Amino acid sequence: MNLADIMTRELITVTETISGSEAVARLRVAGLHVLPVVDPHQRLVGLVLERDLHDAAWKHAEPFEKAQELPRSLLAQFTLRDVPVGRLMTSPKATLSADAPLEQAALKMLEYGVYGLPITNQEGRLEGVVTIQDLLGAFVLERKARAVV
Amino acid sequence: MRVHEQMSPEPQTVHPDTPVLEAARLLEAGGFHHLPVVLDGVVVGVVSDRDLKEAGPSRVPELGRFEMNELLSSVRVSEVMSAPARTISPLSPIWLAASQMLEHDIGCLPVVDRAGKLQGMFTVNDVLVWVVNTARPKETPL
Repeated sequence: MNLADIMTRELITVTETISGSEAVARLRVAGLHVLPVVDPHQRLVGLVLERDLHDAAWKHAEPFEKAQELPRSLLAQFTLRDVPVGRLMTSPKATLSADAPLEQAALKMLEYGVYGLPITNQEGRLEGVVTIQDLLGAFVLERKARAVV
Repeated sequence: MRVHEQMSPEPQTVHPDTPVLEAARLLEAGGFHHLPVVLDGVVVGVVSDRDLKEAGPSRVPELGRFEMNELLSSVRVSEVMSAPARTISPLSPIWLAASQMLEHDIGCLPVVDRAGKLQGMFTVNDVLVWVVNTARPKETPL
């Protein structure tokens, strides 16, 4: 079994040009903490993290005393309207290839302290994402199958 | 492999009456995401960094930062913890712990003996280490 068998292929992505406010809204609707940022050719150019968006929103609100009293989740909707995701995104710490074994994803998650990793092909195009839930699910299924045999 | 072979023994704990600010400091200092809440040696709940974050702004959107700190120092862990805690036996197989974490969408399980006494903590990172080690030659574990 390799990562191609367990990765999530239907992804919600954003481009560098959409606003931070829009990215925050998409994260909330999808119930996610990270979104991949892709170029028009679906090549992975970065990741936008919920935490970074909230930190940036806080920074942008500093000149406005009243704005700081808003809950953090609302703050980003107002203060990041004119800030493109390209200025808020971070470089992916690691990427994996779809034919890598599951253990490699586990090792990278431990090494980089992240619970989700993008899967790219040789041209850098985003093919999927593997999360810790995908990994745990695969290992639990495998062990249960062995127990039955 | 069983849970007790991969868990962290003697974990940092907090009392239900510990102020949430103190719990937040312990989480940060230790680099943890969860702390077991223990009363007389028995696990009564788990408090996570997520619980502590949610204890703040959603309760007091109208307060300033000074008032927020004042309020947080008066809130106790027992008010924000997840209780009762889902726990696992030290003798359970690791895949069963992984299965429970997936099913309940949690990142850790306090490991308790039959009397409910805390023996250790088992986290998703421990599952990852186990996954990596089962694929490695025995001489070079993580």
